[in-house]
Amino acid sequence: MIEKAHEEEIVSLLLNKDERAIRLIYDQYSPALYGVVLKIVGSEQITDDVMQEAFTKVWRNSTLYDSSKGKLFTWLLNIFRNLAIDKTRSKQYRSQQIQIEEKIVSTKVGSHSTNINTIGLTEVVQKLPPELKTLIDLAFYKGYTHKEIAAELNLPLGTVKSRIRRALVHLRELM
Amino acid sequence: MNVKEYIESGILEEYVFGTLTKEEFDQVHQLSKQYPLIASEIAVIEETIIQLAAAHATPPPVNLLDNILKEIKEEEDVVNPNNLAPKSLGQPKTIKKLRLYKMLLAACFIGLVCSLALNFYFSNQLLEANHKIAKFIQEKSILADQVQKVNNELLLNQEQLAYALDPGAIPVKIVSPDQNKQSETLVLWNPNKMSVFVATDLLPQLEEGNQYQLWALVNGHDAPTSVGVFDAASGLVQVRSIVRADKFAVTIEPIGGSETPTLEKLVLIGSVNRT
Repeated sequence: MIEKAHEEEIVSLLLNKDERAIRLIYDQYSPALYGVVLKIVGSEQITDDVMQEAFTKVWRNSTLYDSSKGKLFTWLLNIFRNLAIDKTRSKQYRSQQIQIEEKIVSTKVGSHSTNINTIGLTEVVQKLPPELKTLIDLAFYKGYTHKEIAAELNLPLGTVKSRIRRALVHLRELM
Repeated sequence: MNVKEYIESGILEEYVFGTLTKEEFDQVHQLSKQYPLIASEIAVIEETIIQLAAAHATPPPVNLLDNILKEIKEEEDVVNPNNLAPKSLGQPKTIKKLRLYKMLLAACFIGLVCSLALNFYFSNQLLEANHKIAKFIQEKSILADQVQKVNNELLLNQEQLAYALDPGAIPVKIVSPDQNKQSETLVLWNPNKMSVFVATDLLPQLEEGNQYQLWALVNGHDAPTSVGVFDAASGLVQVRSIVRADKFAVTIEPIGGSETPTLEKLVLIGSVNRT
């Protein structure tokens, strides 16, 4: 998706606190990051907030990025995902969700909408066996640790770990 | 370590998802440096995640970038307020400020040095004063000892004087039986109080291991009674108390005295004159 040379250039600008890094990151990664955040929080307005917050956080912590610990996109993705997940766990978000749901009920269009987990799922993920799809949802979009998933799905931790691994291997093959 | 098993455990997925604890994360990071297989597996997982994310990429609203840049600019201004001032003015101000800081720093340093020097000076003074006080206390205790000693001696002298001046005390002059020798001394006996004193200052020093011994002789009795031993030159010495005596004699005996007098070493003798 992104050429390596380009990534190195962005990283070196970022470590030097050069504002151009933010523009380049935006150009290169914002569609993917926006898509992920939107999928997690489910509302465009909240997604905009998360995007701004996350970019500010990236800027603030820019010198902490260590390329030996992972790709730039992985680092960015985790910052964006974590902020998005935090949002979904905040009180404000929950009360907004309730309002949205109430609206949906009152306008009587609720019957076939608003299951966040199914909005925008790509064909690839749809092709996964259902039990693996759930695992990807929980781990990737809800930020659950493997332990939390094990507790949520009432599965042994080892099973969760190996299934998530299988899911990703499966995805790779499908892609 | 079984690298394959480690990879199969699914920990690398958690590493990429960022759900590991700091310790676990660092451990995986270390191992990825050690085992190329782990590093390459991490890269594969990252690639999968990147593709997964790319799969539902959504173009953000057009004004989002401007908002983000605006926010970052504000953030910068908060962190570094100097950015708010025009650059042309900002520079000399900064230099001026820097100079002021340098001067303040120098002043602080000088102050610190002075304070250290004074500390050193006063601490030395204090140490010296403490030594002096200790010395004074020591001297005072020596003086007190001496005063006590003098007091004791004075008391003793007064006591002895009281004995000597007591109307009942009888001075007995004892002299050498050898007419050629000039030595003599005085025994002070108080029959009422039975106390006996002997003046020792006039007697010559004896050889090592010997002492003078005073004897009381009673007329009609063969065996003289020992009244005690004494050394030369120790002032007026009080010896044992006795009830009766007609004569006093002094012999030279081994230290501690003898049970019976060594007559060959009779050095002084004198009669009690009761009139």
